[in-house]
Amino acid sequence: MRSELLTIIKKEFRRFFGDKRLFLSTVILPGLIIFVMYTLIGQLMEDFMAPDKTYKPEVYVVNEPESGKTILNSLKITYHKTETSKVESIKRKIEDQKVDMLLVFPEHFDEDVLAYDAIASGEKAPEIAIYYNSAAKESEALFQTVTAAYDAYETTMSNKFDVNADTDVKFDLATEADTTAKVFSMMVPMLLIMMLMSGCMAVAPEAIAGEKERGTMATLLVTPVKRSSIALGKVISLSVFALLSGVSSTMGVLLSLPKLMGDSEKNLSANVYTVTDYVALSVTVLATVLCIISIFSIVSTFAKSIKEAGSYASPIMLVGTVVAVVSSMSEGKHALSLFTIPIYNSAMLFSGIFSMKYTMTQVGVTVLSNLVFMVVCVFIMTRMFNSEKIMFSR
Amino acid sequence: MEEILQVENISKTFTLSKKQMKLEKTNSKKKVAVDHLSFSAYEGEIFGLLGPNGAGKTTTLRMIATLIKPDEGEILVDGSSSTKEPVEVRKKIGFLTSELKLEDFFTPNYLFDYFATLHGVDAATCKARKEELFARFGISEFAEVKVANLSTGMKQKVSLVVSIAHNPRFIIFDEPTNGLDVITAKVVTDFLKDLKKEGKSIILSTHIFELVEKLCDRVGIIINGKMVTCGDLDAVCEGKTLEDRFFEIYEETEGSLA
Repeated sequence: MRSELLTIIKKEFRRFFGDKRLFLSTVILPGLIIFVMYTLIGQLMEDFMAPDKTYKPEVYVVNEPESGKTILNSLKITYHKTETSKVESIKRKIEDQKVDMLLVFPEHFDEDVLAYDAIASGEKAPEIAIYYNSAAKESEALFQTVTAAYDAYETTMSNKFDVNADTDVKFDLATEADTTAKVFSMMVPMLLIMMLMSGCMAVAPEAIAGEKERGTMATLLVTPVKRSSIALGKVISLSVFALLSGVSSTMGVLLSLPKLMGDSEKNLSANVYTVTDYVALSVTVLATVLCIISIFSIVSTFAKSIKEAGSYASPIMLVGTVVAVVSSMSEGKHALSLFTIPIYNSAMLFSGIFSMKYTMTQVGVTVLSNLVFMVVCVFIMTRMFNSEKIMFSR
Repeated sequence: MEEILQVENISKTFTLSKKQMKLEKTNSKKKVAVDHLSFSAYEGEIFGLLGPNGAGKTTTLRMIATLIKPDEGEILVDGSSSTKEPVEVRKKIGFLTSELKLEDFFTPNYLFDYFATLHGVDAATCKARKEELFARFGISEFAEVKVANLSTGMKQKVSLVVSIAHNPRFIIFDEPTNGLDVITAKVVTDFLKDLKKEGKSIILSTHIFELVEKLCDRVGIIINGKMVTCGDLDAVCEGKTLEDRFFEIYEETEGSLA
């Protein structure tokens, strides 16, 4: 049994590692593509969000008050004064993205503001109308800046107290670990399950359905090798390939995630996790791969061709992703029994590991249940190899 | 001569899918592929199995090769039951189907070693047998060339030698010369003659009447899962060519050729 198993595993290894194209497309490219893609998306988003400092905005002001002049000058915004009669034509220019902003002040704005008493008068406060176009990056940025400046001006007029006014003091006490845990536990579990599933999907159809399609499975089945050895040999070797593919994709995600998250998450660093966390993560990834590859191997055994196996694998991947999303988003303490459900358990545990809220018992239960699941799948595959309807029907 | 294969009253019925029912133009969900079939094969003989498409030849060969089980009846290969001792049977047989397409990535050298190892052949025996067979089929110079880069004829020759890497006593060939050019087909038929001389027992399923006439000692004709005639080639032919006799038998059984 052992030597048969080794022979089958060795053959699968030889095919996988010897075929440069297969190795490149399954192990190297996924991680590389994800890294380049995410980094590029992050960079593009950063560029898109960041206003162009050399840009000269086109701003119009109606009924310019003295305060408005001061504020706009302090923001170094040059503008054109205009009249109420031109408001509609300027608004159309904003729609066409030819003008960035129009500020319409009421007549005698400064005087009205000074005289206004919200409690005594019970009237509506003087209102500035700021027209802009959120679809235009520069117009949107300008709106944010000007609104913030006027909000600040309004605050100073009745300033009784401030919140977090001292810019030298760090008020957000979240540590690098907290930030990383929050972001990674939100995004990585789902991505990880998807990457592992993609890895399994890339290798399983060819190894089993491919053998059926080529007729080599029949040749293999007329050897005295036990069906269970064939099934186990396939699952073990495919797990290694899927694991390599999954690790490659995960590395790509982890390395590019800080860039993807942009300036808002500068504190992200995978260094915040301990060796124990990484060991727990590795063990869980391995157990997850065994579980997923077992499912895909059964699908591949059932399919008549590589194409058919691929068509069955896509909906399974979709279901797996949904399960991963649901489980990684479910908050609170999870019952230990939930960690016996394959894939659901992995997503919960990944989420727990990345948020640093997990126990070794949860890891143990997940690994054990996934191993049991794999054994059951190997048993089913063995039965399938004996089924003439599955192996030889057209 | 020693009886190597005993096929005794085997039957096999398949359940058809809706798609298959449409293709077969039948309302019945069941299709009797093999119907109480019996025949024997002896040491040192080539037994030809003839029949139209869908007659039950491949199903019969798969049952003998232990890939599928008969619903009833018994198959004994060199005294071992295909249903009760399938592993023993697998050790004794070689099986080559025309559907076999070796993996493009591997070399003949590797594939031979792989299947020989799975059959439990030791390294020294494997090496000697590989050298002999590769030389016999002109594979030696292509031994390290990937299957993808071999010609169709060479691929078929590699498939053949791989299927008999373990030197089995009893060999099943399903359309072994399918798609081969005349030269390669001649090499294969000569090899089958040599195997026969070595005392191997061979079952040959083919559509080529000439091949059966040239090679086979005995022949069985299957129509609709039933063995309609079986015996020495001369006795079956009754002085006519095998082709003429086959169509005569077919018309007697089915009424007409259309």
